[in-house]
Amino acid sequence: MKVAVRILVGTAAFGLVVGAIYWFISYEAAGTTLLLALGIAPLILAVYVERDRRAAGAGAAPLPEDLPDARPQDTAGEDVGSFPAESVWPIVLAGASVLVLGGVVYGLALLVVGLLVGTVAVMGLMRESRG
Amino acid sequence: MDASTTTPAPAPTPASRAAPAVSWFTTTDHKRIGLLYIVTTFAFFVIGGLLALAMRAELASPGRQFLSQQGYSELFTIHGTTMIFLFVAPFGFGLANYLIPLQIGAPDMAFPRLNALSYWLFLAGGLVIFSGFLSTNGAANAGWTAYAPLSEASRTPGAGMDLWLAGLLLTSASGIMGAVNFLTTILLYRAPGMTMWRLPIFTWNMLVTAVLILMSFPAIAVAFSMLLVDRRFGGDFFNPAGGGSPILYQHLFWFFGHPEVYVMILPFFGVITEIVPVFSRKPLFGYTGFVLATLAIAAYSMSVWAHHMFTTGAVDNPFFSAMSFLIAVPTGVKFFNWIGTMWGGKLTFPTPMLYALAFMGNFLIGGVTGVMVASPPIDFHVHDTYFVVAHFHYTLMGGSVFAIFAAIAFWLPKWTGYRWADRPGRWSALLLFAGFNLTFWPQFVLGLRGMQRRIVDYPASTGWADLNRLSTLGSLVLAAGVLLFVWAVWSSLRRKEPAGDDPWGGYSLEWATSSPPPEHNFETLPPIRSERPAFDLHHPELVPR
Repeated sequence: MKVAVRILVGTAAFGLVVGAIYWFISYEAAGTTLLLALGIAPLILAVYVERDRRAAGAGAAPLPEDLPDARPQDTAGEDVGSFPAESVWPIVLAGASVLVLGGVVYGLALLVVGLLVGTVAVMGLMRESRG
Repeated sequence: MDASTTTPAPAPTPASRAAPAVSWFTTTDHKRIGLLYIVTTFAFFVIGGLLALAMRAELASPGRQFLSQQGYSELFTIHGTTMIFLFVAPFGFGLANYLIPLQIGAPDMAFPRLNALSYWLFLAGGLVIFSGFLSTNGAANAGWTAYAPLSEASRTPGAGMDLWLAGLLLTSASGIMGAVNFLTTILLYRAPGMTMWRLPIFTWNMLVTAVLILMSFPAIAVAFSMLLVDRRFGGDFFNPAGGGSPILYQHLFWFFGHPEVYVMILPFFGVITEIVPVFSRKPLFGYTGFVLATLAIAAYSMSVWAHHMFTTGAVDNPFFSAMSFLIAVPTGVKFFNWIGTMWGGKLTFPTPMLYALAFMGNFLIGGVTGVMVASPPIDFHVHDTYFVVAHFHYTLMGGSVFAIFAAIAFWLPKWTGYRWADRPGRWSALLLFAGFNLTFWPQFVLGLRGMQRRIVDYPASTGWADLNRLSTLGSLVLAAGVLLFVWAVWSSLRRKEPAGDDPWGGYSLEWATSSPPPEHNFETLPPIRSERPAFDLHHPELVPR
């Protein structure tokens, strides 16, 4: 995860420095705002990931994927989560999203139906995740 | 071989209960979702290509042939939208879906159901965009950039434009979800020993692409939502009469739009970098430099958007010009990597390598002309002319699309278990290369002679007819090349000649499992001791001890 934090901090530093330079040579507000946003957004992610990494403990052993000489059997028996074979809810939720946006174009009725179908789909996904 | 060990098994999952055809609609398997993306995006490519052929037929001679101004505007709008939002970028998603878990030794993507949702949102978005053709005023016709105030309800009335915005909001959501999935999978699901500095280049490039998507796609989702509010609910975000700013739309659009160019090219830099070393029989020259160059491209790509706005007078042109010049440096590093890899290598030229070489030639021309238009004085001259049309087709079609064809030829044996039909494949590469250059090279000259883009007609007195006819002829050769490529795919599937697990002598981990791979990808996982674990597995005598 150290590499991820470095990439994010590097991007943030680039955005902040370039944003500051742009402001002082142009005094143009829109471009400066977007460049500073380029700095701030990855910084938020970097702080989150770094906090997570430190919560694991400073003395925690590095992960096997970060060790150059780790072997596949080093993670034998480790819980890597469950991978659902199938689910009908993603396609239902996508259909509901079409209805909601169709409602914005064609009227309230579609939007209401879309929201109802979307709610059922989200509940279905939640039930599957717990099961 | 003796070093192979059993891979950590994922938690048991219930087998699919659905009928085989229905199971494609409910699947959460990353490989099937990847194939769904690949087949769907290719279908969109064929449709977008037919729209382009209709436009070229219209422009072959001065005078109106068969299209109205409105019809022509719909065609170029939906052609651009299809190729950018429904083909090139999501094809990268398809490849990434199939390959990332295999290349890093993971059993699946981190969030399989979110992955399925991404695909269905993408397909739904595409269908919603095309449904505009069925609406009263026809499909969206404000160009793929949909600049306000042209795209406001007063100037582009009708549901087609609204459906275009709704469809692209769906595909944007799909892209963001996909990026979250790629990032999480690459960072957290790597096999033991698969350190970040051993990641295959394709996976590295997808990681950087995912970061770019997370940074840029929200901007366009915001811009399209604001435009939808303007159009449907009387908002004035981009309406100058109501105090809004059309320039703000351009900022938001291009803050997304330029990184989107790299979302469309970085995955295919990755593809080419997987292919060139394999057919040069050498490891990649300058792995670390290549990765650092990719990171530099990503950073610069977020800070050059306003070079699309030089002519507005609303941005600092020297700053954005300088940043745009700079981005050529890390891109040039990649060419150095590819040439260094081929230099002194034992080169062979099957279909994927021919497409890779064609990619390099075409992309080089696209890149060099990109440096030209990064200069404001030149940009003022060629802005909104066919010079720019030719430039971005050299990068996106001559670059990304050629890499897509290379990728299909390279990985089809892994997807299907069948050997690639190399003979028609190689002929298709030659035909496509010739057809592509015949189509788009004349457009550079047309642009320099002042032919504007997005016009349905031009007077005979301009002298543009001959070059336009040449370009149209080229588009027919190009179409023939695509047909021959489709024939090569069909031929590969029809002959059913077993490919084996590793028909090309590949380097990355996907070549260490069966073709096609089993449900959770690996029966056994080899030890990972370099960037070339499959090569190490198949040639243990060459592994340094």
